[in-house]
Amino acid sequence: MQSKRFVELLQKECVSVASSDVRYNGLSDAMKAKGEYQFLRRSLSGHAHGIHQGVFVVTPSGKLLKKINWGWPVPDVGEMHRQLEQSIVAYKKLSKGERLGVEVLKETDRSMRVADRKDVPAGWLRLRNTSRSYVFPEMELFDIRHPSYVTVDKLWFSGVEKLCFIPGVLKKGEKEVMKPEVVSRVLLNSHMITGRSAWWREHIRVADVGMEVVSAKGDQVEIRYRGKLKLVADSKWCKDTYDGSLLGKAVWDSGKKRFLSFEWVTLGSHGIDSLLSNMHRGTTKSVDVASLLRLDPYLKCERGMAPAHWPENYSREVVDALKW
Amino acid sequence: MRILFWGFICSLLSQVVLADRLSVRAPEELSWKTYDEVVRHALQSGDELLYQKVDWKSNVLDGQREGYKDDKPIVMILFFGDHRSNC
Repeated sequence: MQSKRFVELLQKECVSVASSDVRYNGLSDAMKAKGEYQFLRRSLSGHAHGIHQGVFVVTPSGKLLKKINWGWPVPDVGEMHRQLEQSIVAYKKLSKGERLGVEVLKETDRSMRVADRKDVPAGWLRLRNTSRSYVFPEMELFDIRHPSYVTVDKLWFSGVEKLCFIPGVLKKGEKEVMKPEVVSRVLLNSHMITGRSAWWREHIRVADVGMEVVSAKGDQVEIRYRGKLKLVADSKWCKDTYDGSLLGKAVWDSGKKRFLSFEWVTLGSHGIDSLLSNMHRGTTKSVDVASLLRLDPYLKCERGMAPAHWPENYSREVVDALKW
Repeated sequence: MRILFWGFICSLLSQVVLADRLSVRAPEELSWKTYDEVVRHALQSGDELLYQKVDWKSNVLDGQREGYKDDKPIVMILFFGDHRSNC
């Protein structure tokens, strides 16, 4: 109940921003001179570390009310809820001038490029990815692989690339092998694991995914996918391994040239060579991970969310079409 | 550090959902028989979807503009990366 009330406060009493202190701090001087960065700098000038990670409540005039993240690694929702309530009370006690200041930021004040300035074309294959580890020995909430955490990501294929997911002949029983470059984008951008690994193309040992038309009635073609996946990284930065299998099913509308449904599911073992003190706990190096790729429902709360690895491992055609 | 955001989100969840995730072992192998169970494990579900009710702005400018227009305080979660995604 406490969590629902917290979300209600965010919904009804506040405007909520989820963004990156690292990206703001990494802007060029020219971009930092603009109004958006200056507003953020002014808002957090009362905080010891300036623009830094944390959960902050600020006024639209650029005044810091409170830093409200409490508890580590498991946040204390009760205390955060109390701190947020106090911030809202404090906000309402301010004069209108103190709350709002004198001006609203304009589009020309924008310091940071945002991904939702250009829509991904509707004719593309736009997928949403979720992945979650299985229970594993010695797991702790500090560990990014803990099954309480889900990795959410996006994966895009252009209208032309989308056709790689259907066999050339749409008759029942027709089989085809998927093109390696399509499967590579899934693997190299870590859609089958939680977190991210620095896979290179030469780390892919097996990427065999086949597809078969299991029914074709009118314009509706049902396709099944089955595959084996294996990666062994051996670089200075990554010595991870992945060994898994893939199943999937989709319904293709051959008249409208679009997928009515699409799912790729993977289950595999993700091995890490070196556990890191800032990401892992215990001694378990290999964890089973389940992942799901489905048509993206385009949730309002995910507006502006690009693939985590964008534009790595995307074709020139896709990158050029989405240049922001 | 991205764990911070998902830790924050997870702390918003009911403990019942977490208990289910931790006590029920998902299938060892992926087959058409176990397919739906593996899907369920990978999906967000129940109260895990609570955070989706919030209209998150992905940048400070959009937050300031809406806060100004609606006369509301701005809650800013600032961490490394896109916090609606990876941890």
